[in-house]
Parts: sequence; C-alpha cells; structure tokens
Amino acid sequence: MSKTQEERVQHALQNLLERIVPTYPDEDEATADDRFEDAYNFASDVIASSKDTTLASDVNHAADLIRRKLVSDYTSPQPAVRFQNLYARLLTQPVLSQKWSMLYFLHQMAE
Amino acid sequence: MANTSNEREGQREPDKRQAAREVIDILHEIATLLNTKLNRQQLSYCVSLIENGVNPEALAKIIKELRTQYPEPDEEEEGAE
Repeated sequence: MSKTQEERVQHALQNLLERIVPTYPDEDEATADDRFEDAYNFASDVIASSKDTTLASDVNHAADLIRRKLVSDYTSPQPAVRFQNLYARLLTQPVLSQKWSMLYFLHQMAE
Repeated sequence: MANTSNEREGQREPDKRQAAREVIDILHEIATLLNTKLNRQQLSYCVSLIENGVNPEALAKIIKELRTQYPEPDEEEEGAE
C-alpha cells in the first residue's frame, strides 16, 4: 500500500469511525475521546493484520452469494430481481475498480 | 475550435462526480436489500477504504465488532428494559 493510499485509508477510517462510534448523552469529552481512540486502534490493527490475506476476487462469485442470500431471506423473488438489475448497472460503472470486494463486503455485512 | 485539454479536463470532473454518486446509489440500494444498516455516508467511506486496498472481510469485522461493543444510545435503552 503506497504512502498516499495509506493516508487515504487513515482519512477514510477516521471519518467512518466518527459515524459508527456513538457518543452517549451526559458523558465527558475525555471518555468519548478514549473510546474513539480505542476503536481507531482496534480498526487499524485489524486492517494491518489482514493485509497479507488474499481473497479470490471473482465478482460473479460475490454476486451469486448475494443472490442466494436474497432468495433465501425473502419469500418474494422481487429483491433478487432488483439486485440483478443493480448488479448489471454496477458492472458498467468505470469509477469503481474493486467491484468484487465491495459486493463481498456488503454480503459480509448482511444481517 | 477544438476543446483545449483543460476544458476537456474541466468537463470530466463533473462526470466523474456524477459517476461516483451513481455508484453510491447502486451500492446503497444493494446494502439496503441486504439489511446492512449502512447509510450513504458510512458506505462512501467504506468504498474509499476498499478501493484503497483494505480487505473487505476485515472491514466488515471491524464495523460489526464496533456496533456490538458500542451500541447506538437508543439501541442501548431498548436492550436495558
């Protein structure tokens, strides 16, 4: 990962955690800061330790995982059909290079 | 008169932004179908992280772990009853 890439990761991680780690009413600022720092250190450690793991990158595989999940989670076929349309549109998007990783990430985040 | 390269460059910037917005639209709809509870802002930072080489499995693990460890204030009250 190049220097600028690392800076971009740190910037994006900081912003993401600010929108995930909550602050609780009637708590002091030091406690909130400590919590954020713990969260940031935890996230940085996980990212660093996962750098060497390479995942088979097959965008169709990730799409199949999602399609199967939508078919099993919903009684109606509508969500899977909707996903198929979104997936077709996503494949035509030039600005996103890590399509497989994004789809795989969303599949991992699914409830 | 043929466009100078800066004019073409200038025109391309809004196109890139429009394309990026469309990608987030698509990904957010997929994220909603999958019930990931990621909003558009969170999702756009996730895209930035993954586009810059962060492992998708690691990022998902981070978010799930932090959501468990630090529940949203209203979720916390629901659990406390």
